[in-house]
Amino acid sequence: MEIQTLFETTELFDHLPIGIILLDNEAKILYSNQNALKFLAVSKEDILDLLIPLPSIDDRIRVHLTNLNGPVSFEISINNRTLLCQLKPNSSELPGKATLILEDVTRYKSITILKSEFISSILHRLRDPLTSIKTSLSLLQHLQETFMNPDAKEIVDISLTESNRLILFLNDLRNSFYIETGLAEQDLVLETTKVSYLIEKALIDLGRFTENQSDVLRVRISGNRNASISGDFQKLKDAFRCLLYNALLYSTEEITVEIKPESDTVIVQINDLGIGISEADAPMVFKRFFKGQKAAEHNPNGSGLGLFIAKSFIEMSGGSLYFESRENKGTHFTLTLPVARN
Amino acid sequence: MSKKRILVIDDEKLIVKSTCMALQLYDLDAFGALSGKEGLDEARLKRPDIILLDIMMPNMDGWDVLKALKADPITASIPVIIFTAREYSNGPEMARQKGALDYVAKPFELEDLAILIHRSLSGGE
Repeated sequence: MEIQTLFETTELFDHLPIGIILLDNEAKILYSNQNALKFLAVSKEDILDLLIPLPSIDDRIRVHLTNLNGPVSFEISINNRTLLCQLKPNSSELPGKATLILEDVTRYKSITILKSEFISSILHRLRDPLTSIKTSLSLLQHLQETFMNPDAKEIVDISLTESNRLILFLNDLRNSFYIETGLAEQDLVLETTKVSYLIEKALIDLGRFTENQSDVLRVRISGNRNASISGDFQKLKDAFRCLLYNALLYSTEEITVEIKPESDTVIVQINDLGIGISEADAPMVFKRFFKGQKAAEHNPNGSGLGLFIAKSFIEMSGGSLYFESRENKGTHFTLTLPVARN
Repeated sequence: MSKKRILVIDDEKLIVKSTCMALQLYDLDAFGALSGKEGLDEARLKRPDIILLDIMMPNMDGWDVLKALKADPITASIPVIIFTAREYSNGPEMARQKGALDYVAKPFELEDLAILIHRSLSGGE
């Protein structure tokens, strides 16, 4: 076979860290490099003589090959290895129907699991002392009117606001970690709730960690307050908190939130007249840990997680989030959520 | 009328102490236990009106304690509120499925916890 001779004479493909297999229409193997043989734990003779047909190793390969219209990725586990498989249709210049590229991601997988356990443990370890600190400070705040002078009262208030800020940052980290590991999607709880109630709850959370608690009064809700949606309450509340936090942070004027029910969706628009998002930053704002230049100047301590979390959580509930913005004029975030069917 | 008694079960001593002190403010008589086993003994002996129960505890975790509480006729009817740093979205649902009355994620708002306890004591909404 001409192509096999070509591969074998160059030896180039045997030096690559990935496995390469060329398959014909019937999933017969036309060529396999050394790493592919190593990953699948078979000999070249076995494979080329069809003693071990590839689909018998994992039937998904045949299924994907039969319906192949474009590149597909999937994972298989074999001989204690996790292999990332990428199956791509071949162009007319290559022999066979498709190329299967195998990448050994076993080590990456085990590091990811370790990382998850590490983050989960840190989050838990931080929450316990924070619970004691916050409860003790709340206790002091309750008692302060009876025995504290104004300076002490202010110190307690500041400490409580700061511990709440830390708690919200931990919540953002946890949410981001849950999204990244897929745990957030696994524990999705869909229920019917009023959008206005979600927004009010998000504002209560915000009020607890804002230095100037009257700041949340700048948010004005209009439109249909009775509009109900179907979604994960906790996640959507966090999404609204992130969006409203940004709106309050980057503007000094009134924030309007308009609720507009349509036949299948409820549209919510959050409008601010703040610093806006530059054209250069616009494609990046939903990326994790991204902070636009102006946003970073305005709020150097921001986590860069809020919009990533908001978009992920809204999409998990079957909604969407997008925005229009003009620098120094303001930003309009529009989100859609599935209307509740009762 | 005597004050309602709340048992707080958590292996973190300072959480137990601060929570108990804070609940006194809301006219509740709170006392603590620092392990699942101690919590079970206290529940059987003192029969509190409500139990606040942490999940992540060594040896006997909160789910085991909840199971034992519900299996014992002396403690089966005491309402249990799960009180944990482990907060998945479906935490409240999981807690109810396992026999708890409600679920509070730590760190909690003192006021929210007090409202929840008083609401539970008065038998619902």
